[in-house]
Amino acid sequence: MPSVFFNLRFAPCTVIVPRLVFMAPGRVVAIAYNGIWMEPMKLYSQVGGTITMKTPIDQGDQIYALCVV
Amino acid sequence: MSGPNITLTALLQDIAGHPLGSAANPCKLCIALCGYGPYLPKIAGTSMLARVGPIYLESTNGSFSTPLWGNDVITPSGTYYTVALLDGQGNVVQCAAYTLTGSGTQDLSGILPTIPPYGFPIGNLVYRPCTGSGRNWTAPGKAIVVTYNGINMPQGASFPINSYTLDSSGTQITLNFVPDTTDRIDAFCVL
Repeated sequence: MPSVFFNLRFAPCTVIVPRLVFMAPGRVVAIAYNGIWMEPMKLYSQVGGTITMKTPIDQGDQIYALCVV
Repeated sequence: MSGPNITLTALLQDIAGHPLGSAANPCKLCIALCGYGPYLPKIAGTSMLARVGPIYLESTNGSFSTPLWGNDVITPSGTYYTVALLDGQGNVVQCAAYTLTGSGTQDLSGILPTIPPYGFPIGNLVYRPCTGSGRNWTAPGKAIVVTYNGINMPQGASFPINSYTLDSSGTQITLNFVPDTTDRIDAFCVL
């Protein structure tokens, strides 16, 4: 049985500006910071697939996005 | 927007390269718009799409050409077309879904079929804060998963596992615990 969500992906975001700006590989549904869903739109801002943190994250922390591709 | 921005063309042949269809037995292309869910499909600012198919086009020489609105200009997002090819005897020999975007003439032989999502337009899935306090919260849409401070909760578990239940509408959340006033209750939900 294939996945119901053929075009829904949970994927790592690309670093644009280290620790601050990231690019998701599609339309963002939610952002996970080290596996924890981030409070919608309060800890980050989002324009298209570009995600800008309100405060820089620590080096090595992971930003993943649940997104539609 | 004055009219459909895409012209879809197709040529139906048999495996020997002979065109299908004849005056007595025309071949057919059946096109239908799909994936708009509970919404009325429309071209924003232009028209409501009140006839979405199935539209049968006939050809006596295998050639088809028809204007179509691109799926990228149709509201809601996530629509697609199903296209069925029928031979001169009316047999459906192929059927696939296509997402048409951009403009100009696009031939069916040059477009990759898409696999449509099930259930609801995927663009309507969002992650949003819920409103409420104590044990009773309201999601902005039909909740799929409810999170507590960003952590997914299981549904219907017993305390001491933090959990929740949903009413029949899927929007009213009852927690099995009382969160602190600064805690967050968010939900993945379908608007």
